Amino acid sequence: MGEAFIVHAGNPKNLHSYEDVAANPQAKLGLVSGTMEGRYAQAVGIGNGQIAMFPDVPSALSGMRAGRVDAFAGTALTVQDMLTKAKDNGLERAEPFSGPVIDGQVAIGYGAFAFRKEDEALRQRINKELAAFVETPEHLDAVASFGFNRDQLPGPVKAEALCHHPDDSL
Amino acid sequence: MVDYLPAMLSGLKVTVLLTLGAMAVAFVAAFAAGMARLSRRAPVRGLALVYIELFRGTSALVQLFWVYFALPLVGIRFDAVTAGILVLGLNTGAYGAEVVRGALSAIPREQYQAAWALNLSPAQALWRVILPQAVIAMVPPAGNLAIELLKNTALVSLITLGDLTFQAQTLRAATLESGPVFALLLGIYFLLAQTMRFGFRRLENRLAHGQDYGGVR
Repeated sequence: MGEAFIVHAGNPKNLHSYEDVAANPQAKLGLVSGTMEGRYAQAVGIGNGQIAMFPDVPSALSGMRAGRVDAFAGTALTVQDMLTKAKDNGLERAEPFSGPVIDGQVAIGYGAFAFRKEDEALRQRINKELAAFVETPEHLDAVASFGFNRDQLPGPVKAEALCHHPDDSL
Repeated sequence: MVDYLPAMLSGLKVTVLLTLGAMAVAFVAAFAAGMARLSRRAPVRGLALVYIELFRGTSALVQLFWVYFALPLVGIRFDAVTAGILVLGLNTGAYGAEVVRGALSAIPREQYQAAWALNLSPAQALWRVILPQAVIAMVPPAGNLAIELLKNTALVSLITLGDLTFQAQTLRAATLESGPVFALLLGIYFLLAQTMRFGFRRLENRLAHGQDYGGVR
């Protein structure tokens, strides 16, 4: 799942990436506290004074409308969902947009399941069933109403590769 | 637990700033509205009543939302700290106004008459006869309200301020150590409340000095 920004109509501050915010000390970025976006912002060097932490998505949307921030950062899915529900001509998705580059790579968030270590059999069984189910028309149908489509599928990426990423410490 | 301190201290600063600022706003608002409620002029009484009921009858959280997110749409813009101090101060001041009104009303009628008979102006009677007695009665409930206010400051994370509670929640999310984080949070709020209690106790003693009744001895 990639990142996206909501900006005011016409993108007056010309913000198309986290790096754009870092490069413009006047720009203020809103995000929901406790999300990965906070770490991305930190990693690309956006100052604390440029960040407004909202407790939840509705507050962040209010903050955008009130002009408290110039952009809101979320996953592409959150951003699209917010814009669809808000039906606000004053707001738009920043296009084009490039995700935050951290340690030379564009950061992408992956959904995951967590298991207890002793439940190895369960983990293997779920992996097996998932492998058979993911990308089937049935799967795509089931998640379409939440805004997911083929673009968010992980493709050939394997969990092993992601779990040993140098960003583990983040 | 030592790792938590920088975040908690930055939260503590916000909490203390908001509490002190809002106490000052509440003090002024409570006296103004409390005395206005006893005015002989009906419009003054009405205005005070509207203020008190508006701020007492709606929640501080919703008031914060309106002042921070909705007022900018009509061109009135406060930064987050000002909005927080203003809303929490006016909210507590609305409760305080009833404390002021109650304490003033509790002074026997005869004292107003006696002051009048001694040719004191209404302002002199209020300042030299009524208030010195009434203020003592206001201090204990004011202390209550101040401690309430301290804990109400935890609402300001809605308007993007990083107060003590917000920092604690962030630490919890980062470390998943709810127990130690909340133990520290509990301890800090308790110490703050105790400091305030001590201050109000001192004030009560001080004001009661030389008075015939009221206050602690």
